Amino acid sequence: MPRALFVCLVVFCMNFHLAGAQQSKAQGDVHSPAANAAVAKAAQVALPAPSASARDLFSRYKDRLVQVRVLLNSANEQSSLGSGFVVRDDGPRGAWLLTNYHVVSSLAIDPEKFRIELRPTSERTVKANLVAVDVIHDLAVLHAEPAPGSSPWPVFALRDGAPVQGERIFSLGNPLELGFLISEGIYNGLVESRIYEQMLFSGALNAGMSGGPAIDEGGRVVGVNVATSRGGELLSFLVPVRYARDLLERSWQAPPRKEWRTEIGRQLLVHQNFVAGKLLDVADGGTAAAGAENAPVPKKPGGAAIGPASAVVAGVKAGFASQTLAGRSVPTLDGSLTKCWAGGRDGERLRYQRDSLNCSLRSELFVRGNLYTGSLSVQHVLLRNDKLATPQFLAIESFGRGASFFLGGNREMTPNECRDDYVRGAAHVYRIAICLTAFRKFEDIYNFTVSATQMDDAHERLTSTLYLNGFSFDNGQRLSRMFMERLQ
Amino acid sequence: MSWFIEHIHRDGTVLARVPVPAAPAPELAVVHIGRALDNDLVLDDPHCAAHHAQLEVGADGTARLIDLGTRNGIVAGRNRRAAMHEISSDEPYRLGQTLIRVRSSAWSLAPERELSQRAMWPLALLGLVLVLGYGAWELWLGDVQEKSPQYLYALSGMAALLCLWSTMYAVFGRLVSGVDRFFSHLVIACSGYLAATLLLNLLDVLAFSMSWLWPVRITQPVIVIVTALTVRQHLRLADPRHWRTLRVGLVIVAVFAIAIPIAQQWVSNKRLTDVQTINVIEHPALRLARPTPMQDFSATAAALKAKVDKARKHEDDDSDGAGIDSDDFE
Repeated sequence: MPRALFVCLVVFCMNFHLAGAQQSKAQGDVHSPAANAAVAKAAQVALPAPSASARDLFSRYKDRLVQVRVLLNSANEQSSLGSGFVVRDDGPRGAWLLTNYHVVSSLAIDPEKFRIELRPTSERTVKANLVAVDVIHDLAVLHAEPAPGSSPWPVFALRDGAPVQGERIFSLGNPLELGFLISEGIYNGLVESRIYEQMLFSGALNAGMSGGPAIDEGGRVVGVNVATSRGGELLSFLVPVRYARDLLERSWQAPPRKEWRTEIGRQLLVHQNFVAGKLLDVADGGTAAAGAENAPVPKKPGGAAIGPASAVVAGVKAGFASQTLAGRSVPTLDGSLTKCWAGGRDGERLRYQRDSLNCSLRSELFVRGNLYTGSLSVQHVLLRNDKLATPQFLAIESFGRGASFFLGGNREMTPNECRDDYVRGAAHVYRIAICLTAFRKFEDIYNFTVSATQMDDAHERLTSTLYLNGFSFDNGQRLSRMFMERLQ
Repeated sequence: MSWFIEHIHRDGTVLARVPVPAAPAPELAVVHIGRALDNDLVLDDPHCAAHHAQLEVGADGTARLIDLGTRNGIVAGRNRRAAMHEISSDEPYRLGQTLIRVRSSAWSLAPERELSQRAMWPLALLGLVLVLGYGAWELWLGDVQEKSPQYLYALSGMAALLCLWSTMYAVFGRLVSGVDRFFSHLVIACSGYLAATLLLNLLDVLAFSMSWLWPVRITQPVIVIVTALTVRQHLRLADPRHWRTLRVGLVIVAVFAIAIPIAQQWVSNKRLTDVQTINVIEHPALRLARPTPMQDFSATAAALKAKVDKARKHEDDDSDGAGIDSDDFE
C-alpha cells in the first residue's frame, strides 16, 4: 500500500508537467480512458446528456476562455499549451487573464526565446505578456494587448466565499487541443497532506486544461485547474481562487517586465525557507525556525512579498524523527506531509538481509521541465550478513553510493562537487560523502546529497542518504547537519 | 683471408652471398654491384643504378665500397652518404632500397650462444591457473544471491580471451620473425593481468585504509600503464627488430590513453577527474585513518559551495548562446 502511494505521487509530478505539455505528447495519451472521455465531451456526443446548467454555463461563458499557447520564436510553433480565462477588460488598456505558472514557465525563464499567443473561441489570435507569477501556487497573470476594433471581452467574476464540500462545480478548458469543453464535478474540500492549499475536484481534468477556471453554478470562479492524479479516477486539483485574487491585486499596476528569473528565484527561496522552517521548527522547538526566517531573502523592491505563511493547510507538520529499522535507530521524517515506505527482502532472493526505509517530504515546487525545488527525502538501507562469508558481504555494493552521484553538470545544474571522510557518529564510524550542486539559473539554490555508510562492522552495514533538492545554502547546511547528528 | 659480400633483408636474413674472388698480389679484387645482369651481385631494385657500386679489396686486407656516380648513392648507417666507404665492420650499406653487408673471414665472430629453449608451457599454465583462480574469487564474491553466477562459462570465457590475446601476438610473431612463442605470450598476458588486479586492489586498500583520494584517482592511468608495459613485452618478443620504432608508437598511444579522458573531463566539467569520493569498502580492521568529529566534517560543505558558485559564475560569463533545451519539447 505505501508503494502504491509513492507511484501516485510520481505520476502526479509527471502529470504536473504534462498538463502544459506539447501537443504531440498529449496526442499520444488520447487512448487513455480519461482522454477518451474528453474526446466524447468535445464532440458533444456525451452520454448521459449534460445537465441543463452545464449546457447553459458553457454557452454563456465559453467566450471568456482562451487557449494559452507558448510559442518558440525561432520555430514559430507551440512548445507548451494550456488554458486561461479573462478576469478584467479595461478596453483601451487591454485585458487581464489568469492561467497557471507551469503553462508559461518556459517563457518566464527564457523570455527572449518564447512568446505567448492567446486563442479565444473566436478565430482571432491575441498577443499577451506575462505580468505576474506565483510559483508557489502555480498561477500567472497575462495582459492582453487591446485589439483595435474588436468588442470588449466579457469577464469572469471571482467568488468571495469558499465552496462547501459536495457543491457542484464545473471546470472549463481546452484539453489536448481538442476544443473547449466543460467538465462537471464535485468540490471535495481541501487536499490533505499538501504543503500549500489545494482544492480537490472530483471531475475530469486533462492535459491542456491547466489554467482554465473552475466555476460554481452561478458562473463565479472558485478555483484554477492545476493538476490531476493519474493514480486515481477523477481526482483533480484546483488552486483556490483567493490566491489568484491576491496575485491580481498586485498585477493591475505592474509595469511590463521581461526578466522573471529573479522573481521566480525569490519565490523559490521563500518556499524552501518555509519547508526548512517546518523541519527545523519541529526539531529544535522553534529556535532554528527563527533563524531560517532571518536568512537573507532578496525582497522585490516595492512589491509585496508572496508569503506562504498564510497559505498553509492547517495542521500540516513535518520534522526529523527517529525510527527503528531492523533494530537500529535511524533518522527519518515525521508529520502529515511526509510519506515513508519500507522495503523488506520479499521478492528478492538474497543470501543476506536487506531492509530499506525511505521517507520523503511532498513539498516540491515545479520550476520548469523536470526541475523541481524544495523537496527532501531520506533513505536508509541496512545490510546484515546472513549466510555469506565476510569477504562476500564486504564486496556487496552499497546502495546509494557512487552511482547516485551524477557528477556532470547540465544547463540547469552545475557539476556536482563532493567530499567524503570518515566521521565518528554517536555509536558508529561512517564514511560520509557530501555532494553539492547549484541551480544555474537561480541565486542561492542548491541540491545537497549526504550519504553516510557505516564502516565499522564487517557483518552489518547501514547506508543512510539525505537528498535535499532546491534549498538555500544555509538551510541545506542546517538540515544536513541535523541529519548527520542524528546518525547513531 | 677471404671476403664476402652479402645481400641482406631488412630483418637481417641473408638473401645472397657472393665471395670476392682472389686476385694476384698487386691487383685489387673487384666485385661489381648493380641492376644490370653483367654484375657479380645483381640487385633487382628499381632504385639502384645499372652499375651502382664496386667493392675493391686490396692485398693489404683493406676493402672499400665505391659509388659509381649514382643518383641514390651509398648510404651507411642513417644518413652517411659518401662516394667511397672504407669497410671496417659488418655495418650494412644501403644502395637504393637494398641493404648489403661486407664481411671478412678474418673478423672475429660472436661466441656461440647457448640454447635457451626453456620450456614455457609450465609457467604459462601456472599463470593461467592464477588468473582463473582470481577470476573465480571475484565471481564468488558476487555470489550473494540464491542463484549462483555461471562459473564455468565465465572462467572458460576468460581463459579463451587470454589465449586469443596471446594467439594474436603469436601469429604476429610468426609472420614477422618466423616464431610464434605462444606460451611466452601467454605468460606475459597472465602476468599483465595479475599485475593490474594486484595494483588496483592495493590502491583500493590504500585509499580505504588511509582515507586518501589519490589512489582511487590514479586507477585509470595505472591500468593504461600496466597494459602498455604488457604490450611492450609482447611486441619485444614478437618483433624485436622493429621494437625501436614500435616503442615510439606505444608510448604515444599510452600517453593519449591517459591524457584524453583527463582533457575531456576538463573540457566538460573544468576539472581533471570526476573521482571525488572513495567508494571502497574493505574490512573495518584495515582502516587506519582516524574518523573526523561530526562538527568538523559539517564545515566541508562551505568549501564545496565555493567551488559550485565558481562553476555557476563561469556559466554566467559564458552566457547561454546555445540552442533550446530539449526538455522544452517533452
